Amino acid sequence: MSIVKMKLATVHAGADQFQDVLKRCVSCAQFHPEPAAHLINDENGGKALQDENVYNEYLNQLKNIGHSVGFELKAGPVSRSYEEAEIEAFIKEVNEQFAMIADTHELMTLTGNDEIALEKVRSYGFEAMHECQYISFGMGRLPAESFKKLSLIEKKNFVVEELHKSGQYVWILYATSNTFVKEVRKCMESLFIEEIPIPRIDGKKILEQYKEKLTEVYSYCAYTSEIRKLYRYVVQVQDDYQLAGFVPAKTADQFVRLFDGLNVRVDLAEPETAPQLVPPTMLHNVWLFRPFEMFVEMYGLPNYHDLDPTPFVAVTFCLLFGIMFGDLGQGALLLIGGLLLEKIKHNRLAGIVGRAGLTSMIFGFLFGSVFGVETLLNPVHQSLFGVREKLFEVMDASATMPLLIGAVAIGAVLILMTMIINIYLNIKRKEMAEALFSQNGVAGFIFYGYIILFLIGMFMPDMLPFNPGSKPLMILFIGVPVVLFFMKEPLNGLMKGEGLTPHQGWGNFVLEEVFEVLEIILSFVTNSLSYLRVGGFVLSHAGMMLVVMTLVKMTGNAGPVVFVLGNLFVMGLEGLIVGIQTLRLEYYEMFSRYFVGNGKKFTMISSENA
Amino acid sequence: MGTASNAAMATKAKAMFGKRLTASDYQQLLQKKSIPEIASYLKNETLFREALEGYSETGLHRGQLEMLIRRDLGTRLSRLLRYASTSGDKFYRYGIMMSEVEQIMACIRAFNDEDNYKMIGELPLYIEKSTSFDIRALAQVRDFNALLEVLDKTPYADLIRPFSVTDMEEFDYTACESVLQKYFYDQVMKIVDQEFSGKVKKEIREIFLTQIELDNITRIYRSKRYFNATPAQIKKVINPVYLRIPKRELEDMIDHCNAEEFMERLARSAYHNYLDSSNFAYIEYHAQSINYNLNKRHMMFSTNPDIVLIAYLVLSETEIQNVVDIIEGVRYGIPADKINRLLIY
Repeated sequence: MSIVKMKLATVHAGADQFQDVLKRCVSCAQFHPEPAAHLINDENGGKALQDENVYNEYLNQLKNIGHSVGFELKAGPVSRSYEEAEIEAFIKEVNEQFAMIADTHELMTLTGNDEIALEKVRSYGFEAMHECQYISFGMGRLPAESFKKLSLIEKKNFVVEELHKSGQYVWILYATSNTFVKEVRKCMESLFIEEIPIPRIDGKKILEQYKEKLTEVYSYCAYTSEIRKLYRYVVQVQDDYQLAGFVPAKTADQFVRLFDGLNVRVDLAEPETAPQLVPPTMLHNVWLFRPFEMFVEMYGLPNYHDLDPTPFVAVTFCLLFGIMFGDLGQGALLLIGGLLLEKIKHNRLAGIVGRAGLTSMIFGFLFGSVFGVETLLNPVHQSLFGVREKLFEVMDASATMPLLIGAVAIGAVLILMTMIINIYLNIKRKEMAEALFSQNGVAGFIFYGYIILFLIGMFMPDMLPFNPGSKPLMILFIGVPVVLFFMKEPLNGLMKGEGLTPHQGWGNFVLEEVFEVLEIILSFVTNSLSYLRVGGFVLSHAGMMLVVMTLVKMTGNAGPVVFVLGNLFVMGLEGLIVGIQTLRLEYYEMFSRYFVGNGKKFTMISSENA
Repeated sequence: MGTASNAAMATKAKAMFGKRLTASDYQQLLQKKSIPEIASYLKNETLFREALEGYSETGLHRGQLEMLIRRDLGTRLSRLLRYASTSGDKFYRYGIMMSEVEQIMACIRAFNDEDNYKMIGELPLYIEKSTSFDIRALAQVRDFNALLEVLDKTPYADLIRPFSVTDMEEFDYTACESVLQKYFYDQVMKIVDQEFSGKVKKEIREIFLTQIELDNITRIYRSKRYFNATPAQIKKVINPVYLRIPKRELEDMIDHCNAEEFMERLARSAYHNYLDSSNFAYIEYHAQSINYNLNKRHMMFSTNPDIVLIAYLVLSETEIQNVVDIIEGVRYGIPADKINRLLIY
């Protein structure tokens, strides 16, 4: 059970170096920065940096310029730095040049196809076309049907070049002598041409000149703007610029080495030295348990000082899933499919399915079920376990009660285990009243455990060396815990030295606690019965497969097809339901007893998170 | 038996009619300030989505937009005919015939113009495989003899030959159009008689006879109002069909009424339910409006697939005309309320 140990790292730098510190931090994958606001207090007299980001404004201006000439700017590597004045001068210059191009576009929005057509016209030279004294040019898109009609025109006073075509349009360039220009335009208009003005200036040429520097400046602004966004993590204490955050203890040295060559100081400390900061939680589990971190994250991360419940979740989830979905063949498919998907798609849910498939196989083997065929494993069972037919016949009427009782028994064990975890965690948190007197503490454990013993004694008196029904024992193990549940709050006050009197007064307290205790007792009953579903799904799975097998027999030659489809259907439907039900047991019956998901996620430093 | 006896077609046609432009669509369209805005609305919000697929809304030419919308009706018709029990229906070719007549008239009207670019632009080449003559050849026709040559071997040639003149100034457009239309309706009636029988035949005949009668009314009104034509001239250009207004009454109206009196008499005729003289726009509006309402009733209540299909075509044509009116209205900056008065829905 592992929550990665953290170190609190504080980097001290001078005014000229803190930007480099930020740049290097961004390149380091494992650093969780703390916002400056968490670090400033009256004692250190620190202040936050002004995070006015002028580079963001430059970025927008450059983007607008690019957009106006249809050039998409993309940030690349930064080759050199620019002064603010230099950037402003450049933006002004480019703006003037490109405004001219934008004017010639005459505010027409060109589609991708228009651009392709225009590209072909470009080879003739836009300026040259406009300089012609006796010839006029025009271009546009003609509906495909109108293009066919060009050949119908008798007096053709123009020449046409097909530039490009799509399903609906043909893009054309036409040329005519100035004498006929009016008539030709009328003709084109009659054929529903959608004119595209031929630009007076070749913007692309100008663009070509500026493209490189534009991208360079844009990249620099983008990079600097990103760094500026990280200013919120920097505290300035006079000339000392501080950046504090958490790094995994294992990589702390690596983090320190990150600043080699800079004149900075890095202090490493235990997280406890800064009580005002909540250390982030980073889970680290072995390969077998790792995908189950997903379920824990979905509920809420554990507190840094708590326990990582992932291994417990992994084991209990697989166990319950395996029992409910016990089938050697189907489990094998889940195992193979899940692990393959996990490998290819890096999907955590697939990883969970794969692992659950393994336990499904184990229980499938014990139940003697392979793809719904209940007799296939009988010889193996007979030779291994020396039974007459098979180890456990799920569909046998006599098996139903043991199955359901067994399910509740598993539930009881799990409930007791979660109580133990809760007691441990509360002792660790120094919440003694919670550890001793609560329903999930020692009192609850004794109460619930004794009831289980009592039930065992009732139905199987020979199993126990004593009589759990004796009055002194009942008073000690049932009566005392109930009184403790009732008195939890005053006892808590007493232990903390706040006196025995509850804060709401005795009258209200008694009234509230009577109902509270009743609810506690009821919840023990309902929580235990909740596990009945484990047995229920064993029956339901076997029942559904029985239907499939009956259908296989009924359908004769189509049997194999029904067999495959039926198995797939049951796997899909029941796999989903069982998965959901198991998750429900994890969250409602187990997590609610010991887990507080109030941890803070370990978030890498980056401008997006800033 | 009808040519399309499959009830599936009637159901489909009714379903398609359900997707027609609604009053709210028309109100939205009337708020538009430009052709691209109209095109965009039609493309994104209405049944014309498919027709305008792939066309740019921003640059779409008005004429092209109108043509695409008109062509869409042909697509819808062929889609409906797929549901019909018989294919290659002779009867539904009447739409092609109507286009042929329109193209011949457009060609003649262009003789007097400097060029025939407009006619070529609007030439429906998409039906060229179904027409009885080469409509592509109309593009080269610039005089009457050339037209006769193109129409050679079609009945149209004999129909228009008597109108041949040396000077196009003297050409009688109204009479020529009336002859062609009469021929068109005769042919339609002939096919109806051959293809249908019983009650269906009676109802389909009635649909077309109503159209003819309404055409006549329009023609009479226009001749009186704009051309001061004499009763004899008028009688010459009308199609002798009398459905809701008896022959004697119509002739009396031709002989003794001026345009205003004609409208008043009409308002007292069998068409009185459909006329609202307080909202007088123009005569075509009334004729179309009457036709629309009659066919809407067929659409709602008839279960015969052929009748439903014909009604669907008439209703869709009116819808297209509405859209065209809006396009033209917006283009010429006519106020929305004025355009609205022309719409029939």
